[in-house]
Amino acid sequence: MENVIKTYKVQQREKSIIGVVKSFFTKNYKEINAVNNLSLTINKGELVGYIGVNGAGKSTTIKMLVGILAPTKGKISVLGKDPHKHRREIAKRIGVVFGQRSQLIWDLPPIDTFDLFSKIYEIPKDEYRNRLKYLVEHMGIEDIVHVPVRKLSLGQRMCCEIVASLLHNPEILFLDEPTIGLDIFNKEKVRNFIKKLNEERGTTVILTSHDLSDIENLCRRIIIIDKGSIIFDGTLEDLKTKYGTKSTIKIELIEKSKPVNFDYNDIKVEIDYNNNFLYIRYSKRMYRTTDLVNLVIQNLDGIKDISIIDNNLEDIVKEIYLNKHRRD
Amino acid sequence: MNLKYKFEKCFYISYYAFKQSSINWMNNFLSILSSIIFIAIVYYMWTAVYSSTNNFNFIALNKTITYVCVITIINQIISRNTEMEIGAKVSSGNISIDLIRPINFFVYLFFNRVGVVFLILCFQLFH
Repeated sequence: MENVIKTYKVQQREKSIIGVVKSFFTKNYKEINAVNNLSLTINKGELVGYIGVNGAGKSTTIKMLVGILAPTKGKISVLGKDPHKHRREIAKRIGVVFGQRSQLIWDLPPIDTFDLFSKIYEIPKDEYRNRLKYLVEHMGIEDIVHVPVRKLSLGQRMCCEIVASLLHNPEILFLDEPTIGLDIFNKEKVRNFIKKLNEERGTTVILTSHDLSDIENLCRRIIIIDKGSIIFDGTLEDLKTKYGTKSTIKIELIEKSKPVNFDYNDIKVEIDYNNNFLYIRYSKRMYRTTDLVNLVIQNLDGIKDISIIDNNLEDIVKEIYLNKHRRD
Repeated sequence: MNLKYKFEKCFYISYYAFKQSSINWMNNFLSILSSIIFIAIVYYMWTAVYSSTNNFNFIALNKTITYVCVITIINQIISRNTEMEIGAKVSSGNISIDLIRPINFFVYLFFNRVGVVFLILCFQLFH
């Protein structure tokens, strides 16, 4: 993608009746840039996590990449072709899962949808049979492929959706929130499966999710966007060394703590009087954890337990967003 | 080979649309029932009209009734509001699911419709 801009025209409506009548004749549009000057390259075989708050432009980007939407400005090339102009050719080589929309036929069992897709994607019979067997076994959905979709739970349906989008062995897989409504076991299953797919077949996977543990577990590269532009693009390790420097020492005390004062800059001490907990928040860039722990042990009496909590991805992303908004 | 695939594709789209709508047999049954009631009402109306006046002598009563029946069946087949269907898909956003398939959207809709119409025809003949 190069300098892609997608502008939505949003009609401004008035509240009064006169305004409604007026809107039949004249229309006021307000232009909103859902995607603003976005440039990114994703190489073959990468597993990319795409993060953004609600309305940041994630789904819009994915829709442009699969060719449903045309960019207002800029150039997109997927597998060497413009996805909007060559929609049908591209569609054969990519798989898409939209977490909120079902592609399965509602009243029929998933197996019927799979059969129909095998015809639509022109998959040879033997190949289809083998692949279906492989996918169904790996996702563990042997029992439910003959149950009508409307009787399945959200998680079971999602497993079927993923199978449906992989039948034609796509080169790129777009997953838009694939772990909605999955329980921990299914989530694990889906994650492992995506990982395996990426490793064995070299499928490029682009994943958006609000469950950042998905992304933390799966993706090597992370792209964070906000208001249509990229604010971070790099590996997970980069992100952690750059932003994930904050850490917390959690101390459980036998008795209630007296107010504690550390004479250091940038260290916050919080005391939870109800549960006898003491939190020391610090930046790893400035202090070594061992030093601080030593200091705590020397200065505090009656320590029951000490644990060190590193910032996880969720906190890091939160911090990045807050920092950005503060700057804006 | 290519043609065979295309034919198969179209056939299966129709077939699964047929299968899908055959599940909702109650829906179909009710629509048949309503058209039977409609035909009955029109039949009695026209017999009343014919018995009270001689002005319609150039068209026989049974021809008028046949006309009404044929019109009702054609109406059942045609007026399934494909345009409304597309509209609903656009406003709910589900059209994106159809657009990620390697097939022309209108071809897909057409053969989908063929399957449904075939089912309606089966029902009509059956009754």
